[in-house]
Amino acid sequence: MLVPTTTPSTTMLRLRDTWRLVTLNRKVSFGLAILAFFVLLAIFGPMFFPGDPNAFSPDILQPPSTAHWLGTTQTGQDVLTQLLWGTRFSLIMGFAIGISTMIISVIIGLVAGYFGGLIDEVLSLFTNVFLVLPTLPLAILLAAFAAYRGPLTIAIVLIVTGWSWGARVLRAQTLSMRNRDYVDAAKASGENSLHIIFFEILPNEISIVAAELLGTVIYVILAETGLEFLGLGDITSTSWGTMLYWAGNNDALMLGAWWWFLPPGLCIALLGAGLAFINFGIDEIANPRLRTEPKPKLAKRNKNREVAA
Amino acid sequence: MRHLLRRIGFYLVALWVSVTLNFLIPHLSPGNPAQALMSRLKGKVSPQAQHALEISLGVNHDPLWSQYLQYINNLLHGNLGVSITYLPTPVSQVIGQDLPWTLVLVGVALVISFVVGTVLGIIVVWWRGSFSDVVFTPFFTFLSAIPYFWLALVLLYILGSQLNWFPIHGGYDTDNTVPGFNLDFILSAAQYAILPAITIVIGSIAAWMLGMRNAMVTTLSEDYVMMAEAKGLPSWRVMFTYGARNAILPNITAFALSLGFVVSGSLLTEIVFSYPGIGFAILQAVDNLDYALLQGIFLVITVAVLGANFLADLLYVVLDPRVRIGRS
Amino acid sequence: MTFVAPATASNPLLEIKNMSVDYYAANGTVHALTDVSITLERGQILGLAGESGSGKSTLAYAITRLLRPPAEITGGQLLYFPRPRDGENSGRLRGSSRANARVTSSGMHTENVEPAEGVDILEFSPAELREFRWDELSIVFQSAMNALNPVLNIGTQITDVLRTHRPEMGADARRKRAIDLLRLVGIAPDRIKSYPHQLSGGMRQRAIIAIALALTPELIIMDEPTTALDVVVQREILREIMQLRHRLNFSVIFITHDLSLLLEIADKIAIMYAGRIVETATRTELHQQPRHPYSYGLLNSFPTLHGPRRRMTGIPGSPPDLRDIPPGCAFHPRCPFAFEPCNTVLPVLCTSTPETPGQQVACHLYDQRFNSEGLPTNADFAKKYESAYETGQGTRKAV
Ligand SMILES: Nc1ncnc2c1ncn2[C@@H]1O[C@H](COP(=O)(O)OP(=O)(O)OP(=O)(O)O)[C@@H](O)[C@H]1O
Ligand code: SF4
Ligand SMILES: [Mg+2]
Repeated sequence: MLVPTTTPSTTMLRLRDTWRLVTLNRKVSFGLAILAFFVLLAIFGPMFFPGDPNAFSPDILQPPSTAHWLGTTQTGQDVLTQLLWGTRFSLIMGFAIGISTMIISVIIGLVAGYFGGLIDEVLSLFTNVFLVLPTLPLAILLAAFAAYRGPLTIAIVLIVTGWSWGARVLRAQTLSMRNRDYVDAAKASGENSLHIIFFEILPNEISIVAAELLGTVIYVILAETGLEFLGLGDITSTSWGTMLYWAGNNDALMLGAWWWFLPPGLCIALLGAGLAFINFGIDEIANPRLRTEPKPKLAKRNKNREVAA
Repeated sequence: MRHLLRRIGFYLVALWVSVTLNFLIPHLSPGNPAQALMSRLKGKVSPQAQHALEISLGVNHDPLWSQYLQYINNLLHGNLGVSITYLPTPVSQVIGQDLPWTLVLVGVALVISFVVGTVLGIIVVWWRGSFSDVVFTPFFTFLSAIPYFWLALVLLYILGSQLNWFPIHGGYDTDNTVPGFNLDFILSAAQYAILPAITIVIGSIAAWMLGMRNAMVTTLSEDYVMMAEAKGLPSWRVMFTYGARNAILPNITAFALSLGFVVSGSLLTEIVFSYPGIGFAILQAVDNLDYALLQGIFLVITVAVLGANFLADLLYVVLDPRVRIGRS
Repeated sequence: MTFVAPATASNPLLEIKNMSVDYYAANGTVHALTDVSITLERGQILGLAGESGSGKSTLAYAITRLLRPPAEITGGQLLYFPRPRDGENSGRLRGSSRANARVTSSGMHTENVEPAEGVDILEFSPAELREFRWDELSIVFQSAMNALNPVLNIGTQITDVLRTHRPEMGADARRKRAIDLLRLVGIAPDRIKSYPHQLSGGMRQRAIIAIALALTPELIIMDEPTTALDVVVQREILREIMQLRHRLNFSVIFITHDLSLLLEIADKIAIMYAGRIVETATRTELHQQPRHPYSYGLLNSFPTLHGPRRRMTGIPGSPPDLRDIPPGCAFHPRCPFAFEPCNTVLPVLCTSTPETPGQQVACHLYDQRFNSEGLPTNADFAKKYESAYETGQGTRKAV
């Protein structure tokens, strides 16, 4: 077999095919709709509610009203404004850290899977060890010893604790790919290993990378919120996690201020579910057996009889 | 047997990595915040304890390797340092008090959620194509994305605070019962554990259910399941002895792999409920900058997670003859 | 008056009538079977041959009712003629489904013989289906290596059939039967506790055959039962199957790519192309003179021991996409004989020449309306295929 020639037109065709498959799958469409909703919210939300989301006001602990659609906090901050700014912050953090984490996973997973042997042994061991270490306590430890608390610390902590899952999946996939014809062909034509790994194998694993990326983003958002909830984030920033931190610290629960702690968590769950739906949809496209099909029918009998006769 | 030995070897490596991380993190972090703390401590603890703490917090000036050896030596003697929160109680004692609460709560909740989730996964596949796939699967997908501690807040608010069905704070009735092996205490503890346990079960069940569903679907299209069907076996036997019996193997692996994550969520749940377990100790340690306690907690949780992993390995070996009996 | 049917009379076991099966794939409907009709006589071996993807396995799964979504049976009947056993076992099977599927065999209509009655497998209720499965029909899967449950030992996989279908048997009797079956296929009885991963490929295949024989069914479908094995083991197992058939007298539908193998073992052979049967013949008929150009090509894709000047040629081109089957004769893009009507008119199966009434072929060469020049012979076939290669028509070789 020859090395596949990817002229622009075939690439376009493949993209179009992929797009068609993706939009045909109801789970993916649904998930994409949710994701799009949050992206729009993150982009345009703060424009409609400008100003400091943490600005105090005399309206303390107001339940939802026309003035404050989602009520106010104990210091009179508008929950909706906070939520919209928090959406922007959490989304940017989620995807930025998620993508950085994925880059590490891709490098380690593909290198281990492609080279095999001792390199694989060592990297796999490393990956598996990080997989079994309990993430939150490790993250807490890292965050606690960091001299400064802010997005960068959170990013480092989450990358360190989050790369192993994707690396494991990609290693397994690469292992099964490395003896394919096109890899052999590239080897035979004298390409160097790095080129083969990142320009021949990686493009063929792009759907898995995408699925793993979504999973990683879910992890990052959940873990980030957890750290912030513990007060290990930058508590002066506005994110879903810090909103929950302040709600928790100010006993929103005891005060009955459900409008304060309910929305951020709901947003996290919704966005997470949206990403999970895309993820499952991609799984179904890659593995048609997972698709939900109608039961076998024996009803439409004799349809072809006349045609055949 | 060889398989299990290899696993044990792996766990030892993992343990060593976590010990080393525990040692290295304070040493490598720039502007180690523990420094300031140590000066505050001067004179309040014995010189010996102070020395050990300096080593584990990375503020000692001995050569690194000698600190490392001393650190390991301390660990081997069960010396995890002194807790600043509960001065001068040793960290090991603080953890020793909190650990049983977490082990029982998280252990029981995890077993329940794994068993129920796995059974649900089988049921969903059994009823395939109908209601289950339209309602169940999306619902559980949603569930899988909810942060534990937020779920805890919501349950606490509705079931505890508004409806008053469950106690909302602590691990047992501190006014009317005495901790120990007596019925009153055990009943009270059980009552206090219900809500946190429900939270952990709901939070983690979706993962096992969805995992089992996918494993079942994949397994059911295997030839041996087709053959079982062709053999005219009753459909429950095809489902369980041929389908679920094989599908549970990857699900056990997934269980082991995500243990660390679930335990993390459970710790946050404890915090919301002010449950007197490890999670609550974490919060105390974070609030009081109790670094030694944090390090100790990380180590102990790692050991617990590795132990649970090993139990999952044992279960796997029992269930899979390919691992149990090699080729003859 | 009692009348004994002559030996040549039709005594069908299974009559496949106009079966059509589609797979609904995301990028189009795959017409895996179209209007397939063929009859299997009791006690005989029916061979099914065709290139990969021609629908052989689909037919096997249709007969066993194992097709799953996205497959759908879009038409046809599967008439099964149970042996009039005076036993208890076939009682239920002949019960309810007879009412809605009372059909007489289309073969013989001798007034004197009580027409055999067929039951339509497609009409079976789940209970009847379970009864039918393995008691009457068992199947050896194409990928036999994966057909054994990896976590159950061989003994259990034999005895669970007995437990379901022979509830009157005790545990000891089941065990004894399992050991007998293993002996029958040449596996040492102490292997009964072995798990599949502890057995060699050949032994696994034997174990599967033992399972298939457990209830001494009327019919065993063997879907390429030996492809995964090396040649020596293949031969051994084939011989074993033939001997067993001799002793136990079951019918077989034998599916393979290897037409020359069928020439050795099958009573009747059906050649499939693109989801249709293009030729049916006895093995002697096919051996002497294949009628369909595709049959000839298939026969010569494999080196044979017989024949003076047969060499490996193969068929130029590759099988069509079953989502988009060529109009007319589906074989026409690859056929060296293709002529005017071939790309428009669909050829139907009919008797090729009066001398061989059993040999049916779906090709316009045998239709007087289109071809009056006489029938092609082996020499003609050889010449045409040769020249097809020389003109470079067959650049890719498909076996
Ligand atoms: N689940 C499916 N979805 C879509 N198409 C399918 C599916 N299963 C089979 N097919 C198609 O149906 C056609 C017939 O397949 P089948 O397995 O019956 O062929 P076969 O003759 O047994 O081939 P082989 O010799 O390779 O076993 C093929 O073209 C195949 O691609
Ligand atoms: S019908 Fe025409 S194309 Fe088809 S096999 Fe006969 S000659 Fe060839
Ligand atoms: Mg096949």
